[in-house]
Amino acid sequence: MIMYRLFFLTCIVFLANSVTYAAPSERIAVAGGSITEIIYRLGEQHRIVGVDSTSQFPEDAKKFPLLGYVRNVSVEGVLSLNPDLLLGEDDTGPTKALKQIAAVGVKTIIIKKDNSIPALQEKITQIAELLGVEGKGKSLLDEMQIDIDALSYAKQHLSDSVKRTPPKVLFLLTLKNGAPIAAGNTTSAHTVIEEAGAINALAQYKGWEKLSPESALKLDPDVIIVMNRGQDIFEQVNALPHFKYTTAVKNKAVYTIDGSYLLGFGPRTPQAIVELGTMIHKDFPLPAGYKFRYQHDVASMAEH
Amino acid sequence: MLETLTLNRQRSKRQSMAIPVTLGLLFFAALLAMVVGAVSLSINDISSYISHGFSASHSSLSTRVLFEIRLPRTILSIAVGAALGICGAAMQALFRNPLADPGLIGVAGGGALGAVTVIVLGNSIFPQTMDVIGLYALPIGAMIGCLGVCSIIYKLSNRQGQFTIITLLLAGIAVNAIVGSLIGILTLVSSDSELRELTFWTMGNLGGNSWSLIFPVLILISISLVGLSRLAKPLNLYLLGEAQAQHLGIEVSKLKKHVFIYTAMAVGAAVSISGMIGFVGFVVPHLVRILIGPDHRFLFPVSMLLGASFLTITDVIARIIIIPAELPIGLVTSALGGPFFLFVLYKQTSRH
Repeated sequence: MIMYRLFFLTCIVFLANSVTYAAPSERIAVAGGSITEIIYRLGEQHRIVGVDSTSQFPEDAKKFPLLGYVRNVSVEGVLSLNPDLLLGEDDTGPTKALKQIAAVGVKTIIIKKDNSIPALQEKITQIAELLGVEGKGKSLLDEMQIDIDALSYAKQHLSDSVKRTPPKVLFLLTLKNGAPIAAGNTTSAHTVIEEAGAINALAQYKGWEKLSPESALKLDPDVIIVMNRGQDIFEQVNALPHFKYTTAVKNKAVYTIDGSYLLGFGPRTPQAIVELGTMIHKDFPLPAGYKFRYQHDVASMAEH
Repeated sequence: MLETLTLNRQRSKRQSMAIPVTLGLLFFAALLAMVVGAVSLSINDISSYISHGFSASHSSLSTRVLFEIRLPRTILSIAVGAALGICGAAMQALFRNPLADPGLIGVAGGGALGAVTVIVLGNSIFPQTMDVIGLYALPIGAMIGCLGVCSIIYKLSNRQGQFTIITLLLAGIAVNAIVGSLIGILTLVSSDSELRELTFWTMGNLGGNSWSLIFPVLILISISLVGLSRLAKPLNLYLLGEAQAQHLGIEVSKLKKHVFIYTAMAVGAAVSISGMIGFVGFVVPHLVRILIGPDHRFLFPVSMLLGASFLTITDVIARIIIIPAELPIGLVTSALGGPFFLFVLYKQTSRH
């Protein structure tokens, strides 16, 4: 028994050592748009050997071999790139394919996807550690902290009436086929609306919901945000019977924003939330000297 | 008279040739599936692994890819293709209708219902069970769905010992409609990601299966294939008509039940692990019938071999066409099988 325990302990010590002192990965297959973006921001993109189809930003990331859709990666396809690390978000799959990849000896790390700012910071730290560039990770976090500070400053300095009754925001994924799909709670859109100091008009429903015209009228949002739409967004929303008589349309408070920029939960997301705040609140009191520093993908804003 | 005789002679010559030819094709397809793929294999690594008695210390990426990824996948594609081919032929015989396919007895619908239940409700209703059975949850769910729906249809059409084809057909259509609406309801309450998973499931995929996952499927399929092969002669007589077969000493009800059960088992097992792979069960028996005629003693084995080779070759195509990603195999089988079948059909009819 003692021998057995000793053996067990040795194994644990050995494992712990191998984790801490393992050489940083040099050939990384990435499944998850935000991870790709983070690796680019860490300046370590030369280590990427392949990406999945959700890795759309930056534009340059599209040049890598495509592993396919994140939920449907192919075992041999990943192995053919000869990676020493498969780094994915937790919708990477199918699970049995991941097991096979790990069984062949490729380190497979799945990062939990929890759409919140602390989880985003955690994700950046973890990736920087895996790549052995903790310093760069730290400066990326500092860079992001500027946006996070600006956000909390602005929320503190909102006028009291807004604080008492925050505006109701309806976030729409699409307007296609005359059937808008809106964000309920547990969605990434719900998180960013709350972070921007507003309340989600559809908070009592879970997940993404298809709205019927009557239920949309009943919600009566103050602001409508639509993902990835072109210029004449107001006309498009106004044309739907769902929203014609809502406060948002009456006040022309209808905006559009790039989906991967705001909801990707990559390094640009805190700034995107600040920008969302400026859309929702007419005067979002930003700290003096704060500037938007990253561009969002204008190409993907066009009609999908 | 003379024409019929020449046709017969031609046909019997083709029949005797068909099994060796398709066997060769299958051998070639399997070899292709082993050597072709995204990872290029090193012959040296593999031969040193084999010459050292498969010892773990000599394993490398090449040998792992070959023995843990490609070999199980190839064997699975052979088994699933064989099952779909022979079961398609058996269904067309059972219904005496060229449009019949295993979907009629609820295999596909039941499998989809089981799969969608596991995908959508699995984690919220039985979280502990899902943790324990993990990877097996989806195949087990699909298998239970298949068997459940098939046995309902079986019960409905087996009243007072009479297993009539018309009640089987009508019960099958009605139950499939109900199952379809249940799938619709579950789809409606599913989240975006569950919907994606479901979509991929219905397009079929042979990848990612380890030995432990495919082993039970292989056993079920082999039992059914042996069982069905032994029904070839009675099914020939059955094609004359039910009454005629009865007079010739065939227990028709029993025969129909056996065909039903073996088909449900084989296709259920295939669907449970690979998702829905359309068109193989329909197109392969037709092709074989056009080429060598409707005698089940030849139709069954040749459909089996051709189905296996066809699925293995299409799986190779699905694997390599967009390296390093992969196409769902159901898309490839329909995209290749459809035009090829039309071509053969067109040539056949234009000759007369």
